[in-house]
Amino acid sequence: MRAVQAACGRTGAQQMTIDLSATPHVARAEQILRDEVPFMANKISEVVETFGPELARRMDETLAALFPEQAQLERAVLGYAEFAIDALRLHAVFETTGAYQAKTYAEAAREVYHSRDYMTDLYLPGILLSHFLWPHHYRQREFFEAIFMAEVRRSNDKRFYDVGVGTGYFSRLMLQGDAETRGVGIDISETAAEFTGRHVAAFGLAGRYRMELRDAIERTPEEARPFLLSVEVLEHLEDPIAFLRALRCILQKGGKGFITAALNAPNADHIYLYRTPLEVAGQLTSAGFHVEQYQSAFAYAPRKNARFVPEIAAFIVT
Amino acid sequence: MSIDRLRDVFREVFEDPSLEISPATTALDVANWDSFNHINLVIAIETEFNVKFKTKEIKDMAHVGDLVTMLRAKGCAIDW
Repeated sequence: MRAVQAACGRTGAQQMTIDLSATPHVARAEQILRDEVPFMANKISEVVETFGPELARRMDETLAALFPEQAQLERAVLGYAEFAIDALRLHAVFETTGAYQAKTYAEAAREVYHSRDYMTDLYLPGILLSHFLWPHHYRQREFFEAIFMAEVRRSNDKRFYDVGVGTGYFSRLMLQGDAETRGVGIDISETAAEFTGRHVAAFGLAGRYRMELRDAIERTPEEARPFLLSVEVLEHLEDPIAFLRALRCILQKGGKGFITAALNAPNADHIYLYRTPLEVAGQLTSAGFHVEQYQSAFAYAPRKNARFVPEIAAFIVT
Repeated sequence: MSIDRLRDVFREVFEDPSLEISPATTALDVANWDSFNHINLVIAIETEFNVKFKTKEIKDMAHVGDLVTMLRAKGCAIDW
């Protein structure tokens, strides 16, 4: 990868140029942003400059598997753009009010999880691309692979649950990360379940995974497993502690969980406002988990006059 | 309605008193026109012109000409 070239025009504008020739799907995604959403034109180059060619390789692998045709890629990239715009717009309101827009879980579910069009066109592509384009999401993945996956690899029993699978991204990482992992994904959204099934199958991993459409609180699985994932679910719930208690029941004694939450991050379906990682840690402890390690990452450096910066707190628990 | 009113919004959001806009102006022509400032610009325009943009419209604002077309469609008679 060549070093960044920054060109300054007469107005002082900067246009970043990163060599993406080795990652053609990422290059096409960047061109779509340049052509259709110019104010996001530098987004991909910025994150590749920050995190290096490995990010581009990972993103390219994902885009190639899930959106191999140009039309599919364009829909996904533009879906991401709308997802990001919604988040930015809600954040502008949040800066003023300091509160999420009041919404029940049922309202959020109706608006988001049970809306096939919204999930397919905007929400799922948005979440998936955010794992690469939002620095705090990418750092969450780094922590997961460096620390949690190391524990998984050391174990003789590598069965896991992933509760609230979303796009299936972390389930796929578990399956890719070790040839002996076997997983069950749980979600209430039919569209998320279908997307996750396609996602896992696109990487040839379907033989070690199955999806279950269910509410983990109302119908908690009976079997406990040695590993558990639940990535950015808590902020979607009216009662996160009830959910965490259900998760505690399905994590085997001595097992390890990877549980994360978004903080100060308004979104269409975020209804529980966490302001600090310690709030999440307190709930984990109340639900019976022991926090072993945690990492938090901010979405960006604080901007002038900003009160809040979105953050992710990720916990490894027993 | 003169384009000056829109231009003044741009100048305030991007903190550049000498900034000029044309129908072809895009984010690549203006310093610091990133995602954040795009939303700040949209909110400032909504306030100034008493309009509301949908998410898809915000995404589709590839250049200032698109923005003016949208404003005209919302009843703002802007002249270049």
